[in-house]
Amino acid sequence: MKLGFIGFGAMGRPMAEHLLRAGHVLSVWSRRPESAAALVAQGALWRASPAEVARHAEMVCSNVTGSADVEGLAFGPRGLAEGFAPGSLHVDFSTIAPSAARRIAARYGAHAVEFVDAPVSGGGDGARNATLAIMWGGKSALAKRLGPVFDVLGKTVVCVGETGAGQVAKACNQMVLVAAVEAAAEAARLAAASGVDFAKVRDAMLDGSAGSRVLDLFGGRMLARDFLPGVEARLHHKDYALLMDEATRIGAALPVSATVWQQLNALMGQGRGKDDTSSLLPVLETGTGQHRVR
Amino acid sequence: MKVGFIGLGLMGRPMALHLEKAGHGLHLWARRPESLAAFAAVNASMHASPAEVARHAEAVIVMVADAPDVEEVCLGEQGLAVGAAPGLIVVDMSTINPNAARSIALRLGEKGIEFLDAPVSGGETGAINAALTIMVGGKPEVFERVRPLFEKMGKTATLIGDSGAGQVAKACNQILTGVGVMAVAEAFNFARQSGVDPARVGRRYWAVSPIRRSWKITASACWSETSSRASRPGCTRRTCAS
Repeated sequence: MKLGFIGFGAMGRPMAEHLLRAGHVLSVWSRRPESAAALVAQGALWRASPAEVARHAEMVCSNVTGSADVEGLAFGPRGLAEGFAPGSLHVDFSTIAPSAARRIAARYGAHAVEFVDAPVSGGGDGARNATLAIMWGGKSALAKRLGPVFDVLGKTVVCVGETGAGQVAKACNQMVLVAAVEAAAEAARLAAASGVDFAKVRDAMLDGSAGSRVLDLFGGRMLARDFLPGVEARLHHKDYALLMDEATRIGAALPVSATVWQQLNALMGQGRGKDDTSSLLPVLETGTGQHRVR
Repeated sequence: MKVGFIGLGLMGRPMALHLEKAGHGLHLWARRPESLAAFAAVNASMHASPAEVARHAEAVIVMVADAPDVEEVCLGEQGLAVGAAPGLIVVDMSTINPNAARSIALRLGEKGIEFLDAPVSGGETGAINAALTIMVGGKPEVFERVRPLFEKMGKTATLIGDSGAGQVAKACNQILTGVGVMAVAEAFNFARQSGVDPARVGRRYWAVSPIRRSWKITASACWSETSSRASRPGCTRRTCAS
């Protein structure tokens, strides 16, 4: 298939490489051309603008940071919408606001272009190993066209509902995920403050009803005091801003998420935004000067 | 081993029956005699008090609700300490305050009685299936002596540290479970208020997501609750709040 790809961060680059290797023709553009250089060296075709990428592709994938980035990419000067032929498809893997996804889809309607919000979960490892969970929102009839792309990138693909539903699912994922990281950090603190070895507590819990991949992975990083990302905590901070904004808009009460959001705020304030989200633990340790977990 | 068992409720009854099935003669006392009915046909002796149970057993397992109950069973007027010979091992598998566990361990220790705090995770289902996770605080050599009993009731038993450490581990476990349950409930409601079917967010996707077991159970309780609007307790709110 003739594809386009834009956005070569920690997630986007390995995803684009998988698509190239699967035999798709890949047109690429980037604000900073050097970030696409490795892909071009592997056979991707450099284009001078998003519009040019769209002109050479039936489907364009994007993986950028925020709602404004996706909207700018689509409708800014020399944006995708200028180059798309009617019937083309824009698949956005970024995590953005559900309402932004719906607005972008509506604007594409005027160009007869389809839009699918397809945020992913699984992090850099998931992108590299093609084991992402992809939750997408859009017309279910598009599933057939999306299959050859999604199947190359992820192991779990779920059509959650109409446009925006993928982003709602991703928000749900982030709420449960980061709350679990915070709970693991609090458990680690309680154990340390009680003079109990959290390594043994974690081992015991992993087999029980409180066991989880979060406790395994993030709890393990806490024990090792290895706070290198992983996923940079600033991205979770951004995701929480999105989901709290959405919750305010629809009037949903999110008391646990609100608390977790404040811990992420504290983390940002301590300059830990580029560390892994397991650094919610040092946030809890700040100012105590004692009882560090290991 | 001759095993005493006190606290034959939803959790304790199946746990005690596993021990009996493994060939351990049981010595029982219950506040409410009707709790003993399930043991009429098995190798179990009924006694008039915890003190009497202690007189006949090498190890006594306690599975009651909270710290005052454990204190009463261990150190009350007709408590285990009254009948115990030095060297008796008391294994408290209830979930109580770590400090209460340390205090009971100290006071029993003064009488030459060994004490382990060994709270469990896994609920009634885990008890019935002998699949509990057992988190233990106390002396390593005491832990080793009752490990064969743990193996009949649970799938893992971990010595976490000194007295009270098992209860700290259980508290950590409950932090994760409680936050998990709340977060899943929030996500469920958020999806519904966004006009997205929570079952489609959940069933297939959450099966591979960071959540597991109890969280999945919560999620499925939420789903079935929307269809039936009736939720049966796995674990009651009163127990979880204590």
